[in-house]
Order: sequence, then structure tokens, then C-alpha cells
Amino acid sequence: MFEHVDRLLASTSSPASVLRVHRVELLDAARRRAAGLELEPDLIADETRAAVNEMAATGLLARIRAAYDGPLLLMKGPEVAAAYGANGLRSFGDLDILTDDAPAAQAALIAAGFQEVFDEEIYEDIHHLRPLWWPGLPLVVELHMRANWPAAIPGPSTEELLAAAVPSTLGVPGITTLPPEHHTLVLAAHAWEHQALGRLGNMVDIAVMLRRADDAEVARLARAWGCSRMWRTTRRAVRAVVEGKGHSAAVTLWARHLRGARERTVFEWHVKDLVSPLWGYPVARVPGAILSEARRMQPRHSWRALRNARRPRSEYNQLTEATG
Amino acid sequence: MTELRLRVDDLHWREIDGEVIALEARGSTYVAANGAGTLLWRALAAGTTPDELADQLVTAYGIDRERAAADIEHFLAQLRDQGLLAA
Repeated sequence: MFEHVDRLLASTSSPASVLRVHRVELLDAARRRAAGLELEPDLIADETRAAVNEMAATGLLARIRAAYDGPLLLMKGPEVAAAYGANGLRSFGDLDILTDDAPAAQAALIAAGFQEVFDEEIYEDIHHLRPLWWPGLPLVVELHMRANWPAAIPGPSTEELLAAAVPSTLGVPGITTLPPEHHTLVLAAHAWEHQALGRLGNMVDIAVMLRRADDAEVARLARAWGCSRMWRTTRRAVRAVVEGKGHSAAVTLWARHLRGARERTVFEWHVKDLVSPLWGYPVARVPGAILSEARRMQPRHSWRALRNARRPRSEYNQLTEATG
Repeated sequence: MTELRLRVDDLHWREIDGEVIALEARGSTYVAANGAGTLLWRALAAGTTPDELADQLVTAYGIDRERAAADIEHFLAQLRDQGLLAA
């Protein structure tokens, strides 16, 4: 499976900074090492950071387990990294833990010596509480009230996810995770949450977790949760981009940047905002989502975006910040 | 001769680009070793003696045995201070 991603990374002209945004910088480092190519110091630093985080994860989970008696279900991060089959291929900087009573768990962890970090305001009314860290360790802990899920797409309840829990593959007693089928859909929802089908690394995560999952069971679960459209689109995109098989209209029309491991251009970003609901949202929510997006585009900004349509999105953002 | 070995419990380490990065999980402290330190670390992970360590340094770096022994003692003292050697 990584062979196709390796070819994609070998052919891209994107700098390491863009590969970091795609969360595939460690795959690129591994590819370069396997090919006997030299690694830039920044890439070696990425590997070192990832190694430290991987080593810190199990001890930190044990501390969390000792501090709180309720369910602690680990999602994404180290659990997905372990599914890659080798160390140092997938970076993570936090532990996302779903629990039954996040405020109580947060209080228990603080009482045990964890400390809250980052600005409080950022974490009001979102799916997890303010991050915690254990002094000296590099990872932060995020206690989730619910899985991170796009508002317009139906998903499972926290209770349903906790009820499906299985022992974590990291082997920390009392720490659970999701079965591969559930986890695959949580990863797919995550791939739609920040920017629909935005990161190549999200696609690789899903492909990696799918190796442990029953594809038909994932589809059945998606139907049960009401997110079949999102799943079908994601599955086809993963097959096309990561496995190099089949065709994905979504990738061709509004996620073509994935094939080049590059940034979306301004034009592609707007196309994605306008049309991705057609591919991922339940039918009844599509018109509202598209209308809402069309209203959000102010004429002055749209004209400027049009003039800069071919620029990478980050370059355009810098331009608009500089000129107001 | 007494065998020297790195502690196993709560000590995690990886080698990246020829350098050892270690995490001592009880105290949440990090250790990094490069070059000769990595050579010694590898040997200590497998279990070794001060004489074997000196042999390795002499062979790898072409230094005299007296200097190798002094460097090793310094390195081992640091590991002992941090509780990284098995009892």
C-alpha cells in the first residue's frame, strides 16, 4: 500500500513544509532512507520528535489510567500510528481520549498532577476540554465529550462508541480503543471536519486502519450511523489516492491536490467549499450547506480570490493578511 | 567481571540517524547520545562488561585503552546518576 504513496511522494515538488501539513513527512523520510537519499536536518528532527512522542505515549496513558476510574477510549494518534506496522511512520502530538464524563476526568487528572495548557477560550463549546500535559512529557491529553464529527453529517453517540470499546493495541491495561470498523469511520469523519479530504495523511490513516477492518462491516456501520455518502466518497478517494486503484470523482473534481501531495489552490479551495457537501452530506442537508457557503462568499473577497485563483491557499492567506 | 546492562523497566529508546534518543518514563527525562555514546548504549542494551566497552571504543575510534576506560567511566557515571543501569 505504501508503494503507491512512495511513488506519489517521490514525484511531488512540494517542500517538506507542505508534506508536514499533509502529515506524511515521516513517510517521506522513510522513503528517502530506503532509497539511500540524504535527509534534511528538519526531517531528522521530525523523526526524533515522533520517536519521543511514541515512547512517551504508553507511560502517559498509564498515568491517566491511574488517575481516573471511568472509561478511557483512545482514538487516532498512537493507536493509528501502531497500525502503520512500524515505528516512526506517523506523527502525533496529543492523546485523544473519549470518556463518559470528561469534566470529572479532567478534574481527576488535574488532581493527579496534570496541568491545563493553552488558551481557555479556544476550547469553549468544542468536542474536547482544554488540553492537559504532564510536566516534562511532550504530548498533551485531550479529553473528549464526543468524537470530532462534521456538524452536517450524522454520527454515533459517545455511548455507542464507548460500548463498542476493545482493548487498546498499545497494551496499557484499562485503556481501550475502537474496533477497526468504528475507528475507520471516526478517521473518515475527521478527514471531513477541518477541510473535506484535505490531507493525504488522513487518507493513509484510513487505508491503514482498513487493513484491520472488514470493509463490508464499515459500510454497514456507515449506513447505521447515517453517514454512507461521506464514507463512500472517502473510500473511493482512499482507493484512488493511497492504493492507486479505481476512480474517484471527488478527487478529480475537488481534491486533486491529494494526488500531488500539494496545497489546494484558492480556486480549488472554493470549489471544495461549494461542492463537497454534494459528496458527503445527507441529501436533505446539501442545498442548505451550498446556499450557506454561497452566502458566505462576499463579492469583494470573491473577486480577489478569482484574481488569485491559481495561488496556493496559504500564499493567498498571507497576501490577504498583509493587505487587509 | 560484573555485567553492565541498561535498565529495562520504564526506559524506552530509539536510534535515529545514528543517535540514541531515550525517555526515562518515571522521571519524564530525556537522554540523547551520539557517536561513541550510541556505540556504548547499544552494547549496554545487550549486556556487556567495562572491558568489552573499552575494546569497542579502541577499535572504533583508535584511541588508547587508558583514555577509552576514562571515557567509559564518565559515561557510566552519568547513566548511574540517572538510574538507567540495571541493579
